[in-house]
Amino acid sequence: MATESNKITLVSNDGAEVVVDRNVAERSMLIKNMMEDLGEAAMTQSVPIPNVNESVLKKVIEWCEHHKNDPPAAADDDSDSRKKTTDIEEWDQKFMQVDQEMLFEIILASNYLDIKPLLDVGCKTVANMIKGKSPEEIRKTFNITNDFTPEEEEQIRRENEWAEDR
Amino acid sequence: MSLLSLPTEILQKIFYNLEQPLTNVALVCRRLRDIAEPILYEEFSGEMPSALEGYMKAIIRRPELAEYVKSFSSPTAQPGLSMTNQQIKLPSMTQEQHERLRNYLLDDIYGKEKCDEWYVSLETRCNYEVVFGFFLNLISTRVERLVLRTEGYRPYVQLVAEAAAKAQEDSADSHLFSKLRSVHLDDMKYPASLIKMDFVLPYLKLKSVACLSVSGLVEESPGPGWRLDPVVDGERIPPIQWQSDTFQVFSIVDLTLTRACMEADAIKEFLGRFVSLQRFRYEHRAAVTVHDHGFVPFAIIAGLEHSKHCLEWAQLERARGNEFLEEIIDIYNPLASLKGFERLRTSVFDFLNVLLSEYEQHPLPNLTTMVLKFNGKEKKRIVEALWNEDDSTILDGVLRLMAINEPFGDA
Repeated sequence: MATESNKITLVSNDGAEVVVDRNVAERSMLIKNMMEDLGEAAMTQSVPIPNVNESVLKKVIEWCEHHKNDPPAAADDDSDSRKKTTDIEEWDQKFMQVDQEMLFEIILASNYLDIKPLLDVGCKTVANMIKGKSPEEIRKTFNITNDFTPEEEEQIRRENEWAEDR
Repeated sequence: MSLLSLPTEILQKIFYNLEQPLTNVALVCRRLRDIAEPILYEEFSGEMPSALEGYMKAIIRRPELAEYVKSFSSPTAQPGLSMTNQQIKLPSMTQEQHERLRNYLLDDIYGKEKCDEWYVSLETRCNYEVVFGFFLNLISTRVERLVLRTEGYRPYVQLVAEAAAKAQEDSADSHLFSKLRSVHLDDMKYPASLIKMDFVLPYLKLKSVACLSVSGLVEESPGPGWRLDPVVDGERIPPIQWQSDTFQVFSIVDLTLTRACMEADAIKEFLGRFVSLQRFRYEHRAAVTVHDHGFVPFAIIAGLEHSKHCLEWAQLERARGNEFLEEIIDIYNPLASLKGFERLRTSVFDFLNVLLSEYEQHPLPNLTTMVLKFNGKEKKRIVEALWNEDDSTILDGVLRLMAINEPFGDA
């Protein structure tokens, strides 16, 4: 029973139940706060995660499982988010080798579940996909249609030229 | 699910992670441009004069971009790349754009005549100083951090700062520099650089500025009884007409004066106007072109009187590298009493200016770090002082010694 009491049940938006260690689930600040609010009741009832489907939820839990012993992130998220670094540790790099659809879903889920380190890794992964690419290559990578006229494009190019010059 | 379906705040987060400028992202499509552009213009810290020129032109052509500028740092002067004598031709604009642009010079703030004259010079003379002043006026509503490296006298830079201080004094609703928190002023005309008090005063008056740093502040006292307030019929011309019966105080929290050269009366009077300093650093340099007034820690400590209750961090030192002057400087010019500086947690002083016995007489309850800077010659005296048992016990656990570079080798 002692081990049982440390597990909680999450329910994805497509109805799948996922049983997970409480300390793993609590990498999500949303779930952690919810647990604190619910107290003992949280251990007996399942927790709905309405914005996340089963495959994404399982993927997110896989990440939380691997990072369950990480020290808590520093609280100063503002300065942190501006730190320009696209370095990602090896395990996370492999973890993020998924199709774009899944990548964006993981980003959205980590944002919703409030798992800041995972959100950071997701954003850095996308940043790395943009890094060093020409506008046309970025469009191709993400399947984006160019909605500028050639004149507008030329105007923007000229206007922002200074930024390449520092 | 695609990149463009991510919420704006997540796309911003992604773009902040990019090490390269967002120029290519801005060219992908309208949605990405709308997110990338504010980030691209948020901070300027370019080192190339051509980059600054392009940045200023872009903002002058589309003044709405000025809304995004939070941090601006002017390039450090490089040999042969001085901007002051450069001409900056404005980008070609329609009549309508010109009329709109003229309206960014507020008649209420600068006076109609001045605005007209300014705008005409902007279009015809294309003088760097005129254009830069105009640019500064544009970004003044949102900018939070300003690093201004000037070269000699900058009438338009001064005009904007003075007008902002005056406008804020007249009305709490003034937007000019209303978000400015941190200012660094530096004069690049090395080694003869100097910044006069008149240039600094407007920033001290701005209510939002918490952190001010000035490199090269030089002030001489005209005579005995010298006051910072201008004498009405005297020689000093006030940058802003001060009311002679008000005692102006400054609410800066963090003040740094590097390569400063201020005479005892001037620094004492000046520092006496600060009532809420938490951090203070003064680095004295021997003046190159003006008479060296000497390093006067006594006057500095006396000047800090009104910040006694809140000062947490103090650093007083002579600029090193002028060791050859040591012979003529009164090397044993100790600090005044630090009694009453109860919040002081860290002190960084030149060894020569510290009387160790002073700390014994007036122990400071919160002092956790005391750094003494010394060079080879001074080392001998430190060893002597610390061998003295009485002194070493009071400094236990607090003292950290910092050896500094000996420019002429350790004898």
